[in-house]
Amino acid sequence: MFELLQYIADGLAVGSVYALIALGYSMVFGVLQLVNFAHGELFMIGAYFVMYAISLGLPWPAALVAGMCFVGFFAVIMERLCYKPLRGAGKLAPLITAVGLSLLLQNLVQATIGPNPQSYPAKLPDGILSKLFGWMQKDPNTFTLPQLPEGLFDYGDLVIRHRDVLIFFVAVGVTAGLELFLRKSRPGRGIRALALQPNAARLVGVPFNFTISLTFFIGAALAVAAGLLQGMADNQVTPFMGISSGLKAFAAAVLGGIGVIPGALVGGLVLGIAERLLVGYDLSTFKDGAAFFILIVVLLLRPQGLLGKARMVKV
Amino acid sequence: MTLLRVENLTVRYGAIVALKDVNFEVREGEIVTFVGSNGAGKTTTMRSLSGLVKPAGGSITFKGQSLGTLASHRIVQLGLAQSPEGRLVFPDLSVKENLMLGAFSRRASHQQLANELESVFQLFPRLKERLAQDAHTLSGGEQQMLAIGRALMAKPSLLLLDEPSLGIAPLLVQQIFQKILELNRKDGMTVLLAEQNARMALRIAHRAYVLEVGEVVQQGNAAELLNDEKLQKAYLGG
Repeated sequence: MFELLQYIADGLAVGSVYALIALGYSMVFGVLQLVNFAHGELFMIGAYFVMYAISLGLPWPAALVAGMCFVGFFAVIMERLCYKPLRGAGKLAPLITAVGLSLLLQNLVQATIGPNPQSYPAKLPDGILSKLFGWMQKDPNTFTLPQLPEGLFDYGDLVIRHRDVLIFFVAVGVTAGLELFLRKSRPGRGIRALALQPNAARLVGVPFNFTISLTFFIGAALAVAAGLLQGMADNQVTPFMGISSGLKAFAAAVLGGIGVIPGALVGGLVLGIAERLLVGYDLSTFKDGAAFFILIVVLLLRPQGLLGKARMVKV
Repeated sequence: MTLLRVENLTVRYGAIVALKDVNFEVREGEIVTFVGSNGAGKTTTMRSLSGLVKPAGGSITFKGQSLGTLASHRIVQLGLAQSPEGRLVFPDLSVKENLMLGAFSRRASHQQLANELESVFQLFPRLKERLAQDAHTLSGGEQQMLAIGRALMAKPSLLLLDEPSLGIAPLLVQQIFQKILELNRKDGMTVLLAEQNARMALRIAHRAYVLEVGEVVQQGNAAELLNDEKLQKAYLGG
């Protein structure tokens, strides 16, 4: 019994990171009906950015904000250059573009930073990055690592790490904050209107291009937060971390009901828990497949996802 | 005074020419209607006025300002609002939320918006009864009232109505046209109306343009067009 609770508690932390990434998939899909497969790479780039920024001596909140801005604007430029020209070109062209962007970014990072995993304190790779920022590089011996809290809540058989609790509450807080933003703020209502009925949104005066850029920016910023959490928790960042986490987060978004904000959280948590359960009960071979198995089953029974709404189109 | 002037408007969808050198104008206080069958270019005209399609040629001047390159949200801010074909209400939002989104382009105080909401309810009391209901639960006619109400919340100086009679019970169509007339005669609202139901539209309009395959083929006083023999044969069922 305690075993089960333990796996669930562990799974919540893993799932929270999926949830943070899933929010970006969900928002972008909501407004453009586009699955931005490059979103996992934004998470990866964010993890790198934040790791280097912290290693160069920035306090982690500053590193996080800088990373959110950098990757956020990167995503906005990516949309303007790669997706915007394809609006009105059907759904397939942007989808293929997204897959291509995803591969391109993985390989760009691999080429500039290298394929090997990096951990704290990360040293800048030789080449352009160290030429530009090398002067900031701290002596690794004097560097103190920022840590997620390492304490434990100890209930005898059930042990919960403080950092897992922190990660979980970050994900819940961010989801709630995002939902509030979408309902109460003016730009947030614009995003919602655009997702519900794009042409009507434009007719009531929602600025189309700005709102799409904003959506990409927010999604990317949340992925950076996920990148920071995962990078710190695993103390490892690789060019390929966006692939599996990205795909699972996408599965989480669809599972919860893509386009529905709380759905991303629920989907992420369900997948995280399922993974830990499989690992816990000696089925870890199936860990990475679990996400997609659950996805298939849920979609067979409830195609709109766990929290999605199905509605007949009224004509 | 001329509120809207359109000169040589041409719109293409790929190789298809949807509008060809269309000229028309709307003066302040008028109801002007576009009549014509399906595919004549009425909706394309409306969409290009609101900036949803970019014209391939010609000019659109609203209140002396060229709309050619303006984004759709700027056009709404200038005072040109549209109730689109098919109504396009926000399905999962309540009637009230739909109406409030209509005022998205404006910076108005709560009190002011509440007052305007009230005047929309005076025009369409049915909407007040449905205030908290999700828009997709409304009947077609109620959704049409909502779409018009939403456009009014933008405080437009020109109201575009695209096919307000589409898919609505005849009795409600009568009612909605009555309201359009009331808006014009009582509040002085200038209206540009695109309508397949030509007889209905010509009865309330001052002037009319007849569109055929993307071109204006006839124009004039609405009352005269209503009695025009050729037009009667083509659009008014003899």
